[in-house]
Amino acid sequence: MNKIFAISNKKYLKYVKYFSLMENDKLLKIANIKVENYLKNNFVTNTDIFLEKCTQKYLDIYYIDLLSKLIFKKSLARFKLNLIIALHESDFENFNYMIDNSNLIKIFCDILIFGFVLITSPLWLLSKLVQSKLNN
Amino acid sequence: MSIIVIGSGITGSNVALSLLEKGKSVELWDFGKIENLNTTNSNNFIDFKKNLNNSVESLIGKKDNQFPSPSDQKLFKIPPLRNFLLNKNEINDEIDKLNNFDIYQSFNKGGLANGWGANCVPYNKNDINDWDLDQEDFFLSQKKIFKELNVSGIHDNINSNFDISNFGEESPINLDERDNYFLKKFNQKHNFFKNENFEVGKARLAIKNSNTDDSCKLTSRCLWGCPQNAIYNPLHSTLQKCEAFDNFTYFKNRKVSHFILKNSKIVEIVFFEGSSQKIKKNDSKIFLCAGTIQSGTIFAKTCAKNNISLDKLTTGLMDTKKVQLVYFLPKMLGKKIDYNSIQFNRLIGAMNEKYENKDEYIHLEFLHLNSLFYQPLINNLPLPLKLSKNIFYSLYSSLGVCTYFLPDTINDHNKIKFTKDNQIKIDYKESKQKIDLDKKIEKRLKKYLLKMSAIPIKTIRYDSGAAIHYAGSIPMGKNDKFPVNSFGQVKFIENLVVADASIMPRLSSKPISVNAASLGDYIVNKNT
Repeated sequence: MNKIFAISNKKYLKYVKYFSLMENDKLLKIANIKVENYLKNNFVTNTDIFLEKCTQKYLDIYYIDLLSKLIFKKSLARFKLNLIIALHESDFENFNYMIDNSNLIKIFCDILIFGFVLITSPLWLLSKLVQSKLNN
Repeated sequence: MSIIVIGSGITGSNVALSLLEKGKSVELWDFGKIENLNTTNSNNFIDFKKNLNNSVESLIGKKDNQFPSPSDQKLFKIPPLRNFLLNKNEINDEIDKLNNFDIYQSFNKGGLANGWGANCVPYNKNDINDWDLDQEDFFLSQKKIFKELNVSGIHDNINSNFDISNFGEESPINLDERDNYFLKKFNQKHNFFKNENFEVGKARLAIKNSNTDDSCKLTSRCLWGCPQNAIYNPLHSTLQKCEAFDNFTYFKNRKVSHFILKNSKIVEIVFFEGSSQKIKKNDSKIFLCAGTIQSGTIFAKTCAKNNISLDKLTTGLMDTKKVQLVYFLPKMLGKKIDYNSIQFNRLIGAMNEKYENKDEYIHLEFLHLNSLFYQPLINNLPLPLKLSKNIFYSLYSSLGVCTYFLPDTINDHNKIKFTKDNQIKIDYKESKQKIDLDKKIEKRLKKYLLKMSAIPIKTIRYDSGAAIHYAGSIPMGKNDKFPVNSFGQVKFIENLVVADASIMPRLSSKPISVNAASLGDYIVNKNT
C-alpha cells in the first residue's frame, strides 16, 4: 500500500481522540487492510492525495470532516472517517463506550467548534492549497 | 404423475402445500442454498453482539465492498453475517445489465423469507379490481395463507377506514415505550388525521407470539437470525409440512434455465445442477413460482429459445419503490433503548393518494431503532461525522425511520429482456407520475410527523428495486396481449402455469409476499 494513505498509529490515536473512542490495535490493523482494499478497487485522485497531506494536525480533522461532508463526499478521507466509526461500532466495548460517552454538553461544544470551523474553512483550505503549492 | 413446482419461497412452498393437500404428487425444484448461521444463542441483541466470535467480520464483512460506502444513501444493509441472503455472485453471473435497477434475489431454500420484514397487509377489492379473477375465491385463499403465516389479527381504524380484512389469528406483537408514545400522539390528533385520510396502527406481522416454545422471545435479533424461528420462514414450517407428505419430493441444487417446447407443450426442462447443464424429459404440468425476476427470466429465455416473439405481448417489471424519512421524537430523549422488543417495524401507517387514475393505498412502516448497525445512518445525517456521531448516540433512543412504499404499473420500458447474445438485461425507469406521487407523499408525511411532535430530519430515496417487491414480468389479463390468463395458465404453453407475483398486472404498495402466496393458492384452486 502507498504509505501516505496508511493509517499510522499516531494518526489513529488522533482519530480515536477526535471521535471519543477506545483505542484498539486490532481495529487499526483491520482499518489498514480495508484502506488497502479500497486502494486496490478505487482510483486515487489528486484530491485524495491533497486531503491526505492536509491531515497532519489534530485540528485538521475537523476541517476534513466538515469539507468531506460538503464537498469531497467520495474522497478517501471521508471513507477513512466512516471506517473508523464503523469498526468501533462493531466492537462491543467501543459500542457501549460510544453510548455512555455521548451527551448534550458534547453536542453543544461540537456545534460551537463546527460553527468556527465552517466560518474559517475557506481560509484553512486556501492556506493548505498555498502550502501545497510551495512544497511542490 | 407429479406436478413440478419451481421455487421454494413463500409462494412456491405454499403452492406445493396446497397441491399436496389436494392429493397431488409434487416435485419441488429449487436451487436450495441453506444458511449456516453460526451464532451463539443469546437473550438479546447486546448479548448476541458480545458473543460474536468476530464482530467486525460479522457486522462489516471481510471484503471491502461489504463496508457501507460513505457515498451510499442506504440507511441499512443486510449484515455480512447474513450475507448468504444477497446471492450477488449468482445474480452477477446471470444478469448482464441492470439499468437503474437495484436487484435482490434469493437462491435459498425458503427464498427471501429467510430474511424478510414479516409485514402483511391483505390486498382488497380496490387492489385487485383490474386483475380479472374471482375476488371471493382470492379472499378465501388469503384467509388460508394468513393463517399459515401466523399473521397477527388486529382490529383498528386501518381495517375500517381502508377496507382491510382482519385475516390474522395470531396475538399482536407488544409495542415498546416509543411506539406507544408515537401512537398516543397520533390518537390525540386523530380528528385531524381522519380528515386527512391517514391512519397509524399496529403492524400485521407474520411472527408467532402465542407463548409456545417457538414463539417470539423479544430478543431484538430479527435481522440477525431469530433464535426461536418465530418469524415465518417456509423452511421451518410450510416446507416441513410438505415433507410430511409421502407424495412430496424435494430436489435441491436444480436451477431451471428454460423449457423446450413441442406442439405448445414443455417436453424438456433445461436446468443447472451445480455448474453442469442438464436436460430432463417432461410430461408433467409445471407451476412456475421462482419469483418475479427468476420466473420472468425463465419465461423470456424459453420464448427466445423456442422462437416465440414477445414483441406483441405485454411483459413488464414493477417494484414498490421505497423511501425513508428519518425523524426525531424530542420527548423520548434520554430514554433507555428497550432491547426486549422486536427489531422489525411494529407500527404501520395507511393513507390514500391518487396515482395513474386510481385511488391507491399507500403503505407505511415506522421503525424505532434498537438493534441495527448504525454507521450508515450516522453517515447520512446532514452534519460532520463527529457531530453526527455524538448527536446520534445521544439521541438514538428518540430517532425513528418512516418507510413508505409506492405502487407501480406496467409500462413498455420496464422489463426483463433476453438479448440476442444470450444475456439477461433489465431495464427500469421511474415514471414521472411515480416521482410526483413520491413528492406528494413526502410533503404530507412531513406535515403529519410534525403534528405527532416528531421532527423530520432527512429523506432517503432508494434506487428502484431496493424494496424487493417485484411483480408483473409475465402479467395476466383477458386481452390477447397478456401472456397469462386469469388462472395463471400461459396461453401458448399448455402445461405451464405461473403462480407467483410475476402475473400481477398492477402492483399495490402493500407488502407483496403474503398476497403473492395467496395468489399462488388461488391459482392452485383454479387448476385442480
